[in-house]
Amino acid sequence: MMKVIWQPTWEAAELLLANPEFKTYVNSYENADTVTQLNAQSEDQETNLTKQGYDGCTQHFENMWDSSQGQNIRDKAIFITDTVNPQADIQHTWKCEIWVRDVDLLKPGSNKDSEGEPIIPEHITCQAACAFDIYGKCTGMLSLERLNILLHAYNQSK
Amino acid sequence: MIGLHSATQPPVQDAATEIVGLLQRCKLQMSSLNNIRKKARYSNMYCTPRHIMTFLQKWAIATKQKFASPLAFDPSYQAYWSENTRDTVFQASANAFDTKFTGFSFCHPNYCDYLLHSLVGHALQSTIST
Repeated sequence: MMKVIWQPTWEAAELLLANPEFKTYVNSYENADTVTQLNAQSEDQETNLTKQGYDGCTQHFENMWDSSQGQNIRDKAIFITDTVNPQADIQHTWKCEIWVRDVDLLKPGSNKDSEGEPIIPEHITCQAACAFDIYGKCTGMLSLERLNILLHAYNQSK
Repeated sequence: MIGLHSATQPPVQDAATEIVGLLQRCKLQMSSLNNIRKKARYSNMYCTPRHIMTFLQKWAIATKQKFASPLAFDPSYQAYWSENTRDTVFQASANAFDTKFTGFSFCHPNYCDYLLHSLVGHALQSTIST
């Protein structure tokens, strides 16, 4: 999974219509008979690659990052390619953190009465202290009791 | 045990950073046990149940824990020893083999033949020299 973070930006409203031919493009789009064009291309003519979204032309890759303002959108975005678990990880703060929060756990099920039926794990929610590294990745969980013991030991040995 | 942080190297960070480091060390230690038998590997992950610890403390007069971890030690014991020197940040004593065993201790080490042999040998030597 890829995580994309947009840096905050601000653009004046009048700049959005900076292109003088904007209305011309809008009119040509509205007047175009797109429905007819789509129907004209029968499914028999489409290759397997086309059905998957590949049109054979790579020209659009060269300018796909250009905005209407001529700036490169790529400069405004940070791409993090590390794996992210949105259910467990948090937005990085560049420092380690301990969060006490509700976590969902699966407890091994035990239905001894109904033999032959699949054992379904039991879903429980409990409070736990989650430890996050500087990148916001969850390193592990502690019970609140163990967290208090560790904090007490840490403060005692200062 | 007060003042341990000032002498520890690398310098001690805040509590959250040290806890994250502790969890990462624990993960690393567990991953290094992959080459041992499955049954022994799983048994290393188990903590000793609280009632057994209490029983040993009450009836066997065990007051110290050897080869414990900050993630599993019982705070009602007087002191505990950890394999990792960095655990001194959490009041652990560094190396159990550095000193003679005195009194009664409780120990639940990882299932490693060499370690168990050394541990029993050290305990016997401590008893003989007392």
